[in-house]
Amino acid sequence: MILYTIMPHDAVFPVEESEYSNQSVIEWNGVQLLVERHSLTQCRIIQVLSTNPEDFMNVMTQPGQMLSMEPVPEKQEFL
Amino acid sequence: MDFKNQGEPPLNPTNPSDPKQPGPSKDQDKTKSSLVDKIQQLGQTNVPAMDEQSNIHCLTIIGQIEGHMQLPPQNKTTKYEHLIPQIVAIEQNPKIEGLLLILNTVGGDVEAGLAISEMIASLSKPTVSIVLGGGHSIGVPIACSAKYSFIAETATMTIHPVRLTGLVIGVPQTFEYLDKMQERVVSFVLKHSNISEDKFKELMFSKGNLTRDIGTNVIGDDAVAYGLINEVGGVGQAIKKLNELIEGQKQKGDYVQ
Repeated sequence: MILYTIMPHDAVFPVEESEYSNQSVIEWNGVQLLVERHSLTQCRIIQVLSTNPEDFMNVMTQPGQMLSMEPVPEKQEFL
Repeated sequence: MDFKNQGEPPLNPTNPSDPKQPGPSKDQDKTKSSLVDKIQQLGQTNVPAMDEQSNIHCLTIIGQIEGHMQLPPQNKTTKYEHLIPQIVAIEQNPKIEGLLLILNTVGGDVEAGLAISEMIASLSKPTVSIVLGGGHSIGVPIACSAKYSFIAETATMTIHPVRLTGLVIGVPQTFEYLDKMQERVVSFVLKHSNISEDKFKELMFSKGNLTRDIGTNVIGDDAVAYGLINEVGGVGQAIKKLNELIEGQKQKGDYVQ
């Protein structure tokens, strides 16, 4: 199919709502991360949102890593 | 809800003798498999970590500059609501002495781009920008907003009039609105770079440079020759210049005291 139109791509093929809600920004040890939900408890890191070059050196928050999220009873702190 | 690292104990590259690290004997398989996972995910095993805190922070502006409209997730975007608190934090934090701005952007929302540019231009700390690959459209004022700017030899900047992508201009007032918006971009660039108004407008409205479009694609050396960017260079030169500016700022501070 070849389209010849002045309309932008997004106007011709609207994006589904669910694609927006899949991604979210979370805070992990004081660093903001853009993550993609994979299941209820797992998400994959897409981007590190920080200006500190050190944060990009952290092996735990490299893009592509999986983070698992668990509700912690009583104590509300990072395990 | 809290976030927990998946299974394995935290790897600390600066402290390999961490007692929590899996021992070489029975946990070796596990280490090996997690190493394989890392290679599959990242294409690399580890990155070197620096011991001391960096006094230079780095702001990367990539993909499209996203403004009031949220772009579909397959687009790579820089969101101004993410950048602005970071710029505020950089201004406030006394440990941060300089800001390096790295651009590889195709442009985007005019208001968001100008907001970022104004924030960077008003920072009291030394700022150095570097255009790698491309700094097109609204990337031009962002590149100029730093106190000193670099462009990679092969990097390009497209200068063209402001417009609504693909949609037809409806009424004469729409044109005036766009014209005013463009004037804001032009005046910002003139104020923060060495290019003359005539030259900038000539580049913006020239025909025949871009296929079936008006504007000019300015490459590395030309951007410096026109006065749009200060110098051709890479990350090494940019960091060196930033350190010089930081040193200069410190000396100035000493005289005041």
